[in-house]
Amino acid sequence: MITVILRTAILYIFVTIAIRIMGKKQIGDMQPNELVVTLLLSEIAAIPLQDTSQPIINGIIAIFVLVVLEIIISVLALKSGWVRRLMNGQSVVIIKNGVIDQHAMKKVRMTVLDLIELLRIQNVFDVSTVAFAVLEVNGELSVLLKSQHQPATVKDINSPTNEPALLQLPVITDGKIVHDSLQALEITAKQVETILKNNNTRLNQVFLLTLDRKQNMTLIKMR
Amino acid sequence: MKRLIPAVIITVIIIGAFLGSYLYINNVCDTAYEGVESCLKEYEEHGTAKADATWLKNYWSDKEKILSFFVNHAIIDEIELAVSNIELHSKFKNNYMFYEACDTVKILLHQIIEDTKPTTHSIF
Repeated sequence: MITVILRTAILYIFVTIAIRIMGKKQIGDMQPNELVVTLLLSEIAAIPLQDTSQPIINGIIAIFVLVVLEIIISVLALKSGWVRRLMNGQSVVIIKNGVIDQHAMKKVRMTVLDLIELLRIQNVFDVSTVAFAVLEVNGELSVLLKSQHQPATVKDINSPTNEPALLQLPVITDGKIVHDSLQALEITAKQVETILKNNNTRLNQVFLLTLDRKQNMTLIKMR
Repeated sequence: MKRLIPAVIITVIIIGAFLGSYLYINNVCDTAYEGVESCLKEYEEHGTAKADATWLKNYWSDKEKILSFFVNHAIIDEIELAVSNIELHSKFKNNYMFYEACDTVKILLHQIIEDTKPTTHSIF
């Protein structure tokens, strides 16, 4: 029993290190070769866990060989378009000026129902409103609407706003000051205390306090 | 490019681990194989192989800890059992069982060496 526990802990550490070395990516954002590596990693890690007669180092070495291959292929893909196309495939334009490219759909083996579903996910319910729809290599559909169907932006309505967007950061969470946020907002703990005083509250009563650079704030007290 | 540095380090570690384990396994198996041969020789010459069999048992018991990092544990255990049998059957002059135990150890040692070698057989 203790053997299994220790082997699991060791493999957990090594798989975590392997995934950290490979880099951050969500499953949906993975390129085909990254998905293959992730699937193989879980399988390889499971073998020494299930069969305790297998030396654990065989699993660890196999994991790191996959990591090395993944890194080499991603670096080569970065340097060479040919390798990128070979390993990851290419984006395919599915809709052009509201017209579905049936030949492209056959090429990527996609049905019309699949396309309509992907469009709906992108909040597009009418194919004729689409200027371009591109099927990306990770299977997601990128959609550009025709200009007359695009939502209006601040620029379109000629609003005089030129102010940069302000990011609110959590300054207090669960009654504790988040010092990284104070640094980012260039304010001191004393200034935060003054804000709390002005709102008749104490530090240990605050569930969440967020602030931006213009001192716009959201205060939620603990219940 | 930053990710290439850990990749290179890992590659060096993997190659080092392979070469180190390959040399270690071959060295241990060769010595153990010679041990079995000398047991056989001593048994044929003097009718007992107690000294060599005890040496082989101690040698295997000493090396199996490190070998278990690289070799299937079931094979290591089988060799340990067969080596104990060599000593036991040599002591009681049980010819058939003695030779069988010696052959078992030799076959298993050969199997370990073959499994470690990167041959078409072991790869595919």
